[in-house]
Amino acid sequence: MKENKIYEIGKMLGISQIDAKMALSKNRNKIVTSVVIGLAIIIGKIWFQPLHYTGASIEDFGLLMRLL
Amino acid sequence: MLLKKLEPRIGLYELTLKCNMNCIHCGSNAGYKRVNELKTQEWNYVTKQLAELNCKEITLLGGEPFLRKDWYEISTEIKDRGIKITYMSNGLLINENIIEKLRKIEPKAVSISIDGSNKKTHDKIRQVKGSFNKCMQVISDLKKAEINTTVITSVNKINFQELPELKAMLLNKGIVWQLQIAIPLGRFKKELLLSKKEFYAVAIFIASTRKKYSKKELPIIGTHCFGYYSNKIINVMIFPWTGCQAGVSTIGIQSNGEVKGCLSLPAEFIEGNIRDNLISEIWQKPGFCSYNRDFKKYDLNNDCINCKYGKKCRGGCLGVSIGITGKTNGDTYCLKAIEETM
Repeated sequence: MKENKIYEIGKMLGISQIDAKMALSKNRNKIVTSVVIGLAIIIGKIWFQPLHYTGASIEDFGLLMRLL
Repeated sequence: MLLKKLEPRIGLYELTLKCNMNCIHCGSNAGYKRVNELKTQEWNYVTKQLAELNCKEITLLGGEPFLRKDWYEISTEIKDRGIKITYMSNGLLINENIIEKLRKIEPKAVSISIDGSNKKTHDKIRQVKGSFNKCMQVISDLKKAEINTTVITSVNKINFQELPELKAMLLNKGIVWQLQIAIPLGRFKKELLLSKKEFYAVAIFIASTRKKYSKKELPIIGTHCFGYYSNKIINVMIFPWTGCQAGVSTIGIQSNGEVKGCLSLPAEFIEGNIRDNLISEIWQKPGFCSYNRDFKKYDLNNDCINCKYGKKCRGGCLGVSIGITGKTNGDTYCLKAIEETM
């Protein structure tokens, strides 16, 4: 899928091109990602299982979670 | 998957199938209670057993969980055993008295369903007049009582266009917003299912909102149905997707004691009853949730066949896969698959 297509689809919900651009993932270094995951395991913040339909909580929005 | 050990870390309790709403998208077809629903002591015994199996979190849902007069006793037992509690409710019954009790329980989250940005849409989907105003008031009351509050929106063709308006309503309220797609299970009619393009638009919406606003302004999340392994947009689930967790880290118990890997699965996935066996016996039984535990790459169906993430992903959400395609291990509402075809 081309980025233009993403912008076009985003328009269905009134998302501007600038906002849609924010949704795009960046090619982050895999080492950085591994360090983040490692740290998260060490401090016991997450279980590494996807959130179910059980109802997310503000507790699920730790800083490390947002980096994943 | 990083977590290899099979433990029922998340318990899902369908406290009752009885419900005081009649939502058009209800996957459980809730309304009347089941024959011979579990009694308080039976639920508490389930909790004791799950605590011994290292359960960390239990979700009370239904039907409408607050219709059970003993919800507080059941919750107290869970809390006393050191397990976190979340509730999924339609909000209609929540009053001052319930909020006072909830404060004592200190739940991880109380989730209230809001299915439209206005009373016309919400009440139409939920089929209870006046429910929108009542639920919005309950959300405000929960927040005032400093209870972790979440709004859950099941997105379908009726409310799809209202997401931006809903976002504006929830902004800066300290409320978590969880989006999921309504899937054709139970009462939900397939013609109201989002198209793949609309589904992708919702994913972009969640991702851009997450990036645009801080955790304080609007913590937003897509549930497990918003996967998987997109090459283009950020992970809207937050958590990395490591495959369906039914029977891996999740166990679902229906109000009549029947056990499934996950409550969103249809009746043919019932694999025991807590009245006949201990939970540990059911959980450790060879073949329990074999669709996940003994999964092989050749079990994949639909667009998932030959996917390089197939082994890890196991074809996405099993419930969504069955609901939309009638087949297991082949959730076609997959961001990666859509990106490859559009």
